Amino acid sequence: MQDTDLEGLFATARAQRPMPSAGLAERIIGQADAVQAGFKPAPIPARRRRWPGWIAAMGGNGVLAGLATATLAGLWLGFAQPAPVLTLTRTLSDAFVADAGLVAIELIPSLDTFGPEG
Amino acid sequence: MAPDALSDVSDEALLVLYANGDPGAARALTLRLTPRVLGFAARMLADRTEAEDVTQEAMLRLWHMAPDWRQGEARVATWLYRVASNLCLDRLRKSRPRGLDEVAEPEDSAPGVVARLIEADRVLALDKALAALPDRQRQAVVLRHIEGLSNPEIAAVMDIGVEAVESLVARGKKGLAALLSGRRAELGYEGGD
Repeated sequence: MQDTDLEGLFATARAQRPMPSAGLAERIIGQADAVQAGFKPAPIPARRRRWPGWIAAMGGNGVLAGLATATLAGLWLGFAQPAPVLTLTRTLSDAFVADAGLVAIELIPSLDTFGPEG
Repeated sequence: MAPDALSDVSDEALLVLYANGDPGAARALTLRLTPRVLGFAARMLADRTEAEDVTQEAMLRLWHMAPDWRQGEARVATWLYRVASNLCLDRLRKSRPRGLDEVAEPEDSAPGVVARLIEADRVLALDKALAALPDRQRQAVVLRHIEGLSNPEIAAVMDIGVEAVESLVARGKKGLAALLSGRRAELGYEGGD
């Protein structure tokens, strides 16, 4: 038996591929339909809420928590004015005012001239 | 989707359609893939009834796996051949060794048509010789030369390297040639050796 003979045999076998009976095909399709009926429908996308998107845009829950903490800390510093902060504020204020030579600023000086003329 | 409209759709796309609930995709896949799996299983097992059982089981596994199919990772046919191969090998391990004479005769040889008789004799002789090969050699030869898979595809089906596939195919063909060596003239090939 030569290679060419074997190739001929293979070609004949390829041409005579056994065909499934109608019963087999129907059984397979029946099983396919039964399996398909058990598939869960694709989940309907939930209504889009604004808050999650907004929080995500800010950087997530962690960033939001940090921002809230910083805000509260700022408010507390503003109201309570602890001694170290007050000292620092006065020192900076004195230095700024001394350097710039700004003792008082009239924001709307022209009002003074209109007043006496009535 | 109507079956005719699915004729140009790839196996993979059909499987995705099936998983998404398309009513015609399963029929199209069945008509396309079942003959291939059945032909392979029939030659592996040399038993039509067992081959049909394996085909049905392999297709059932395909349906169950459809929703989890990862597109682009493998060809559907290759995956199916792999499943069918494993099912066939399991059955061969459990069954007793099959003799040459147990290969089924052709069901219908169309009496009076000499050419078809000769072809039927040739296929029967080939099937008997294939049945006498070791399982892995038979698997490789059938996948390569009858089912038409490439060596890398066979390597994926058999979970071995391409070189091992080449070796199995070569040894299988050599075994077939030896088994059929005395039947060249009988099978209608000129100048028997």
